[in-house]
Amino acid sequence: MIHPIDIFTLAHTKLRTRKIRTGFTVLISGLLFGLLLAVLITSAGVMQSVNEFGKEGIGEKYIVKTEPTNPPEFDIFTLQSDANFIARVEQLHKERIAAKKSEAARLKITYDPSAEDPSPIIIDKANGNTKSLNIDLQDSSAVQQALKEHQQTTTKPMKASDYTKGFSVKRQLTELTITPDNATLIPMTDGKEDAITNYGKKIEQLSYTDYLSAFQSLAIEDDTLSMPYVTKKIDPTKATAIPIVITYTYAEKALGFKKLPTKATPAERIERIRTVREKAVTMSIDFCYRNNASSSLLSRALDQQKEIAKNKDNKLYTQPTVAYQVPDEKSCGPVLIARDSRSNTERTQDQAREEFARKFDNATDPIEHKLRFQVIGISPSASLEDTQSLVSGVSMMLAANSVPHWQIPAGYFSKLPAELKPEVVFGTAANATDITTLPPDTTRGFVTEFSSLETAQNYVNKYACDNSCASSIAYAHPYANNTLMMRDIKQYIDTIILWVTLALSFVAIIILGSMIGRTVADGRRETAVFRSIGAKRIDIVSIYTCYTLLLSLRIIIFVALLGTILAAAADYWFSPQITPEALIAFSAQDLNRQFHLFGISSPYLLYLPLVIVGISLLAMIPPMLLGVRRNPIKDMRQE
Amino acid sequence: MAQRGRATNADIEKYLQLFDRPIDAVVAIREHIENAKKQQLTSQRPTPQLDTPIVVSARHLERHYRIGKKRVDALQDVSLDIHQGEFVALTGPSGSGKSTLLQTIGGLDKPSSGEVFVGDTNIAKLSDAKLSRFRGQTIGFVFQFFYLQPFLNVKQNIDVPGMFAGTNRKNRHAYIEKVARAVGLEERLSHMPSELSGGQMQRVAIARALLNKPKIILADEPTGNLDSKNSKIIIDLFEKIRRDFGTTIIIVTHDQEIAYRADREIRLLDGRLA
Repeated sequence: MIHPIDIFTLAHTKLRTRKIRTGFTVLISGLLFGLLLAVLITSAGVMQSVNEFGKEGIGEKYIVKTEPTNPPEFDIFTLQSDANFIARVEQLHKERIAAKKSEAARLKITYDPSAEDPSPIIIDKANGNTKSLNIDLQDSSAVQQALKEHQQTTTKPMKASDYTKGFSVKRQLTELTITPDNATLIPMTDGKEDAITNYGKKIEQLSYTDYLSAFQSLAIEDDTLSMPYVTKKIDPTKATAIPIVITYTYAEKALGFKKLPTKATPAERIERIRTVREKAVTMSIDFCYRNNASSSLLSRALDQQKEIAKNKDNKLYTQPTVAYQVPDEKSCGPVLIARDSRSNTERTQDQAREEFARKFDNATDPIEHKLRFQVIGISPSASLEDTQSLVSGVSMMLAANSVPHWQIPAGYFSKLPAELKPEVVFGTAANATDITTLPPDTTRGFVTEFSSLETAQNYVNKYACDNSCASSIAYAHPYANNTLMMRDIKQYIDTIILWVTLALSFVAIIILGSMIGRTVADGRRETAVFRSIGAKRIDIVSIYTCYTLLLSLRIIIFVALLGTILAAAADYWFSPQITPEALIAFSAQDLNRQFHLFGISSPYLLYLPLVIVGISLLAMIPPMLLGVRRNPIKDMRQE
Repeated sequence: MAQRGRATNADIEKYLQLFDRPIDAVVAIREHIENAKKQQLTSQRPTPQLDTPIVVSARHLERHYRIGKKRVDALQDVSLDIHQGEFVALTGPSGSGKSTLLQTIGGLDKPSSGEVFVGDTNIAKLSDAKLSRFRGQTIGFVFQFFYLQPFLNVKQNIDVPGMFAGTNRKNRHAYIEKVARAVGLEERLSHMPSELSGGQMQRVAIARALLNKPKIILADEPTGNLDSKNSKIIIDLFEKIRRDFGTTIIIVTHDQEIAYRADREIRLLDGRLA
């Protein structure tokens, strides 16, 4: 058997013999796999950076949120032609009209049922008096009451245990969104009440970024989800304001910073983040609570103010008998009556109407509260610097699963003085103890921490929505951090890499096969000479195998250089731009942390050389087998 | 009277009168010179060494193959014996079967029928692997176009058959110097083939053929690509090898001068011994 050193010597001469062909093959194959390697290094870098950044926030926890798919009010469409439901609506409507007639008579006020309470039932006389529901009147009292009765009898409370049965749950996490019934709770940006300052403005007049970064909702959030972002620890028992964690974008805006120009350097961006974070925790935000009666009265007062101003010089204009005073925009105060020129009879009649409305339309007295929140931290969010750029795309992806609410840490909230959390504002949600059971008409969901990534993933798979969520009553999605999403992305990348590798391998096999085939064909004379001076077939196979391995080695070296250079270039160009976005998206505290696009932890980096060697050997086999089976004397004769 | 070494006009006149045309006179002189030369070379030919053991024995060799639809009878009923230490020239016109006979003796080609004994071994019946070993150990091939590895130096080129034989590398390297000295290239071992003349390249090929100490060297037109000066050097070298190493030399050639210098000339015509 020929010595390995001799095999190497003879194989190496083959590479030197066909330099241009060898160079071309190395170049083409190397370009294909070099690009793949660059993608592998970059994706490994992204994964590595995401893991590093993720450790700072919530950490590696497997959190999933389960939410109802169909809000209960959509049931109205399925009940539109339901005979029992229609009969019940009809009955409730008749009872309501009878009661209202009777009460109107007692209070001596006029009541016109056809105008004030038109029937929500349509009778199709042409079709045998068939009855159906008038969808336009679905908000009528009879329909809403019948719907509520229907939901209470047909739907069950949403119990977390019904869903998580069979899955290893670590614990259910508190998330109580503060959505007061028949009321609004809105932050007073710049200390002013939005309903007053933006009166008459259309939503289109607000910029897209303003719209997205505006307050969305408020929630009492589990300490697991909120405390990692608290940078200013407080003693809640001595608090004078409600502690809150807000998004970076809102803090930046509320602090009066203008958006940084697109050409701002990464250092300037990071400095901006540092400044916003430092100043945000010195900031307090007032919220204005108004129930519907208060909001409606405020609207009436604003409308009236506008009307009066418009008719200032109109001598024919008659001032309203009751003139309301719009409260100061910084007060969140009540709407007071500025002037009342009603007669006693009118006033008595108005009072009778109010009593009538309170009885039948759930009318309440106006209530308003000004609440003060103290910012104690910044939660992760997308920066929305430039929605078109790749960098911003990465930022949005990284922040895709962040908690969308402004968060009041549950641990702090439970210890706050009672006067800071009036029940009229926070409602029963604030005092809820059973976070695992949600009422039948809930639009909220429950947040679960699972004990393992595998379990969480299986749970999400079971309750994932397909194309639409119509067939399921609830759906689950990763929440609060990127652990699950990154696994999905990793699997997605794995699949892409697999197919790309297969496609590249196919192309590379063709290139290498034709190149090695030509080399074997060109080397027939040489093979014949070797055979004539004593080479066995196995010796020829050994030489070509070694030749192929040396060729693979050259490709691997070229691929390693090209892939590394490309990935390093991508890291050099994009890392400084992505880092500030990632600092915001993860709300990372360490501002010296860098988001790198260069990582070598992927197992594919080990597989790639094996793939190159494997396909090279595969490409070598057919031409070599054909070559070695040939009669050397035949080749010599042809020479 | 004609003076020796110089012909007078009368002498030439008298000579030309013997022929009908002057050209016939020229042809007669040329034939005369060639015959004289042949006689001289034949007289120098050493006595055939037919007292040594037979090293190659071919019996009723037939070799047929096809080129397209045409059947080629390369060898037909060829029988011959070659003795150890003999220098044999295979001659004949192109397509007469010289190279086929050489390759069959060397185990590169298998006869369609008949037997080829090299020593006691009928190589016509050897497997491919055994034939490879046989070629490596018993035969040394020399080709018209040298077939050196362009990116190996002289020493490495000489070493190639040793690589396939798997012999001890240290011993092999020592022997390379010996054969290089034998062919007069001991100063050129580190040179690349591109730095050598044609004659030197052929000497490297001969050294390569000698490396495994073969009993027989088969050379297929080894001077076909060389000028007369280098051809003479190569033939002198073959004679030296035969003398120093006791190697049997079988050489295919078109060159009659070389054939005359062989112990024996075996002439083939249309695949048969002439």
